[in-house]
Amino acid sequence: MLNELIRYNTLVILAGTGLLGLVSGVVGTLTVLRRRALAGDALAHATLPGLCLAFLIVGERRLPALLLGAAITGLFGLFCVSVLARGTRIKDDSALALVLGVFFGAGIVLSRWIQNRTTDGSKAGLDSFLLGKTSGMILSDVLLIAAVSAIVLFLVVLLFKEFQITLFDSSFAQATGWPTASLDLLLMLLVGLVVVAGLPSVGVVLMTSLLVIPAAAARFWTDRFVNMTCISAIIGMLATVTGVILSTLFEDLPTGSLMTLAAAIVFVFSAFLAPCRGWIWRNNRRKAFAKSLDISK
Amino acid sequence: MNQSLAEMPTEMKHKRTDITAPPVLEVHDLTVAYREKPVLWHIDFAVTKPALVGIVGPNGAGKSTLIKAILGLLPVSSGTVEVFGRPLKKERLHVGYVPQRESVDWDFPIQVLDVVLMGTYGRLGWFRRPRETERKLARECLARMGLEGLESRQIGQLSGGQQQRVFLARALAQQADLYFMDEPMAGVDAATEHAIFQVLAELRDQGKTVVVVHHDLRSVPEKFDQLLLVNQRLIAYGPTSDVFTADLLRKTYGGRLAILEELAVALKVGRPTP
Amino acid sequence: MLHSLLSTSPAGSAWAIALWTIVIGCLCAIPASLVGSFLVLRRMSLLGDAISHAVLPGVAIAFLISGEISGVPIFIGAILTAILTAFLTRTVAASGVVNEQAGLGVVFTSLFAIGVLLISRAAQNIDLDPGCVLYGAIEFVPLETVVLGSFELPRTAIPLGFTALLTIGFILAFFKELKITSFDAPLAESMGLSPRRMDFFLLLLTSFITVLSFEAVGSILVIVLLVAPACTALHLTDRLEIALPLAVLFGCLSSVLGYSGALSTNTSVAGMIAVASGFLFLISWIFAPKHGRFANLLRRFRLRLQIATDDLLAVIYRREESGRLLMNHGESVVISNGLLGWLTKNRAVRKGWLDSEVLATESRLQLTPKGREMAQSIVRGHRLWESFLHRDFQLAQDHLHEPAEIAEHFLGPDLQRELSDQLNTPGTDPHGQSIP
Repeated sequence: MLNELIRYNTLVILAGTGLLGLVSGVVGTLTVLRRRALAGDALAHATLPGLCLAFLIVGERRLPALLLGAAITGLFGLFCVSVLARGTRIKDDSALALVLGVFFGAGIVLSRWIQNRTTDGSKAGLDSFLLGKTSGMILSDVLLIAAVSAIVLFLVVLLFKEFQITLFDSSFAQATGWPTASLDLLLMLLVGLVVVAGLPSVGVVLMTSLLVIPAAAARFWTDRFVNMTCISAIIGMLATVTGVILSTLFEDLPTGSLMTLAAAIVFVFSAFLAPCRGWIWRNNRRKAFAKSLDISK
Repeated sequence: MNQSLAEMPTEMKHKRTDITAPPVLEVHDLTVAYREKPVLWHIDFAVTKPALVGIVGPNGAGKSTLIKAILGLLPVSSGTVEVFGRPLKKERLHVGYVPQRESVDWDFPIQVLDVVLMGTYGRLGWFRRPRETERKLARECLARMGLEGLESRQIGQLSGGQQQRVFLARALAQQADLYFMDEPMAGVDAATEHAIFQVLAELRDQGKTVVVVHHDLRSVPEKFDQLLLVNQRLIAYGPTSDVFTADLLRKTYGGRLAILEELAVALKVGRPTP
Repeated sequence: MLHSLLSTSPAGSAWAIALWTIVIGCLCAIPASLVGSFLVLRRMSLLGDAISHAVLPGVAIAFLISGEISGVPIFIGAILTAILTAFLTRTVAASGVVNEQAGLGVVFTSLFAIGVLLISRAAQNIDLDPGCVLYGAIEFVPLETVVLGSFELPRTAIPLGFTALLTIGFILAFFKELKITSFDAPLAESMGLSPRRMDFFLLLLTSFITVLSFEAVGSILVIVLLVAPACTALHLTDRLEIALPLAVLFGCLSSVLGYSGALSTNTSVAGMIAVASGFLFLISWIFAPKHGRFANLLRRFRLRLQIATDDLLAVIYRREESGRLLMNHGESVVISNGLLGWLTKNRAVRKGWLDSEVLATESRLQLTPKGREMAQSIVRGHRLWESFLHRDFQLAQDHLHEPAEIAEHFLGPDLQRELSDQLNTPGTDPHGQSIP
């Protein structure tokens, strides 16, 4: 079993998914603090029609083309959310739910259409994008993830100060001359990049979990933006790597779910045990406070 | 340049032609509309020399809107804003801002010192990080607001008055020459209000101009040099002693507002059929 | 006819299957669009989304225990997980460390992941697979039937019909409470109507609907039936009483359109229902008579046209007033050029305000008597407003014209009369010109 783990293939997969967890932890921190935790969810669901359209156009399962298609419809979905939420009486939560469902529905229709057309009935492997499958990951996939991670990490490190000021106090940022709208757009582009990179291994439905759970868990451990970003990155990496290891042990289980579950366990752990902000600490403090009131009486 | 106000003292007009010292702030013909409904109409005034300027008016008169429009945070239907003789966009480094407390996410993972450091971001420009010089400045600003020892607290753990003082410290760290403050006294304790006014007076004595949206009429006469009365339109602008009169205040706060409101409704729903 | 159709075994003829598929689509859509309307109004759409994902582990566990894909255990399991979702989300958000949207994201993705794992474990020996969970299989639902009296019905139709009736009953019974708690929760609270309790009932109904629609439309597409018809209806009307039946109509229309779309392309019915309801929403978003994009543009253009016409009339009036035959340069600038200008003149002629004979030469335009009356009213409004501004706001003379230029288009006869009264019926404006 140990041999199984250190096989070349497994190492490739571990590198790819670990990097993915890291980078989604970083971007997830930004979106959670932007109070747009579920924007990634809408984006991820909206990638499905893009995957199918790209397949229809290219005619075979070529990953870069599929992911490009996914990125296009995903970002278009997010664009629809912001148009709907701004220009009309639809509130942003409804807009998010609407876009998510309708795009996903369109994706299912297209995928069935493809299934009917392809003679071998292999579904072009599009089903694997729904819940994610890491076993097929090869070196070129990892290189793609690495490229995306490099771009995203470079931009986040470079613009860290700028993101911090826009996320914390956007009116002050605007008053001091920072282009808050462009930074917001850039953030959504980064989310798009990460989601698309994660589709093959985590899948459409659970990509959100990698963007939200590590960031939410990290918030329990620190009061500083820098630290939160780093901790979230570590948790993300931990979750994906654990997920992959588990999925090599239980081959019939979808990797995306195992990753999500690993992240969820870290979250529960953090929410209870983290110093200062964890439930146990807060509960103890509350009791101590109540006691001090009794004594002063 | 339109001379719209009878209250404008004559020496100001002379100052204005003085080429060596352009006015600190010159707002010309500023109109702001929200969904075709005008919120501010034709605001026109100039602050010619360093002063503590109070903006006063009833709720919904557009005081905050005025500041935000001047700073370019809201789309403006018409008008220009000049700071030290140049468009505000080019003088942002000389302009400080204290937004309303509600504009911020207080659960954000950020410590007091980091918030104050944000004041230096404008001067740092793109990509550069704050260094020890900036940290030192930020600590000094915190000390000036009496917040020593709180620098590594999370911002949400402070009291309302302390949070407001952090905002002021951040503005001080901007080292600007012209400040805009949106209700800095809202919801703070008496001690903080006193401390804030003291700092504002110091800033003025250092030759800086501070424009403050204020809601408490009682403290107006002794605190502000210049007063701007606004209620959708500029009612009056000038030295506090000239402007803080019962007549002008009544014009600002009470009286014939009904017809203005009715017009506003008409503007919003479309016009009545004649 | 209908009776004979319905009484034929659903599995029997293609006709009956088609009919039953549509009926089941509608039975999902009716309660979903009703409950969804309130979710949208209360900004709880994402909770609907979350529940539709999060009931999965409940369904899976109940299935593992009971070994049945439907029935009471599944129902209970799903409802328990739905309540658990809402409770966990609230707990996470209440800690103050994580905001509500993030809390929701954490809870429902985790529960969904657990559900997927459980189902994949169980999938080896039964016919429940994750794909079916995600996008349903409404096509096969009519094939499984039960006999009820003289009817042979698809098994799912019975609980779905029951939920539809329950939802309608609930909304009829608590309409007043739902309305006030959705509109103004604090007020409702102060009147002793607990918004929390209404939230809870809506939550229960949402989980009912989700679970029952599960087989038919799948977990993700339920969210479309919850949100899309509601958004479409709310775009079309300002009244809740009308929005609710409209939402039901659009829900049902979506399932009919979705079914025929899927039939003609041989694709997924559930996916097509989602696409159809998105399409209906898009149409209402663009063409809704009051809040649609198109109507907004049209309204804005109409207003511009009205204002341009008013300006044109006023300019000619002033020229005639001053006794000049030709317009001076300052006046002719005001007149719009191009398409707007052409439309403006056309409108004025059509309304009988402009003399069409001298239309060719712009500087010589003539008012008809009717047009003069109209122009007089506009100029009167303008000058009254100038007087009002001058007196009450002490604006300088050269500052009066511009605001009055805007205001004149909005001063109807009533406002004019009131202004005139307040100003003690002045004879001249601040510039010394007479007020007609």
